[in-house]
Amino acid sequence: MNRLEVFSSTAQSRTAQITVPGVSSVDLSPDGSTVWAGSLTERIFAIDTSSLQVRASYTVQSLSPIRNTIFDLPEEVLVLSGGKYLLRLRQGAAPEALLALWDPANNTPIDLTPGEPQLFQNGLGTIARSGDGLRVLVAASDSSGELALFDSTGMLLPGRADWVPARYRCWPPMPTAQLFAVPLVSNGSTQLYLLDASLNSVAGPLTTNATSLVFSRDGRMLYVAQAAALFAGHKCF
Amino acid sequence: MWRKLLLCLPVINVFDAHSLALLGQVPDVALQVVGSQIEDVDSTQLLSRLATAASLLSIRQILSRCRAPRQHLRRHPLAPLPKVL
Repeated sequence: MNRLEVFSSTAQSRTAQITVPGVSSVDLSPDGSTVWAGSLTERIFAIDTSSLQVRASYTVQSLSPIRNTIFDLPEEVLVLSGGKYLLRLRQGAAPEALLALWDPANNTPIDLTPGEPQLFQNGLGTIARSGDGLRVLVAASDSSGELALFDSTGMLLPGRADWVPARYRCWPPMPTAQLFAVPLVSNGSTQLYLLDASLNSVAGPLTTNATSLVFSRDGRMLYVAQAAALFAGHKCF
Repeated sequence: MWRKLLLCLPVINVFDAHSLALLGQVPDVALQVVGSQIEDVDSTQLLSRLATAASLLSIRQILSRCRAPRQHLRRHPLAPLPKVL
């Protein structure tokens, strides 16, 4: 993909197309003034939400924590509070990625893998940022079930859940850092849990065949879309 | 012996975000073959769905209408597809 399309939620029509080479993710800044776009071109783009133009682009320095392995594609960018950003920094030659903290002021990503090597043994899985940008929930990309919480400075927070996350494309951004909605696989079925900031379960499990979920803006409701399904009913003799 | 099959149509469930108590349920948009995911919601409870067929769908669903749902569905204009995929 090489462009972003902007739609009006009031008129429900497309209002703009913005050329962004290799765009692969978007995230809105807390003040709503900038959309940060990750890409598969070694660059991160800052887009002004008023003019709908690219305001700046940054060529991210690569990381090479393992010999002959270069992580240089900022595939996903998450805006944190305090002016820093979390990157899913991918290899060009392979789908493996690492978690990095990035500050546009010095443009030097910091590898967060050494903080929790067990979590990243087989690469980086799903990551989700709280709506206030204070917390990021990170999952392993394997079936180890490891989850970890990072704060907005890249510090690993205490609390760990050894469950098996369902493989959803993404978890919803949470309106506050207090609760996380996480679909987990248990005994072969997907169950929805609400986890607190220490990754303890505060509600659930709720058996669901959810395909996607999102919090309301005020944080009071959780919308869960469920796919059509066929179930065996009763047997007749 | 035979078995009845029950068809569960796609729905959107609305839960209390602190207790997971079910607040309501509305029928979802059923699009054959086309998979879609709810992506975002605005302050007026307008849900946006992104479908794999490069279309953007939206459903306006207010919680008070959950028991007698009225949906407003609009398909956003499609971007022209490239000639060579």
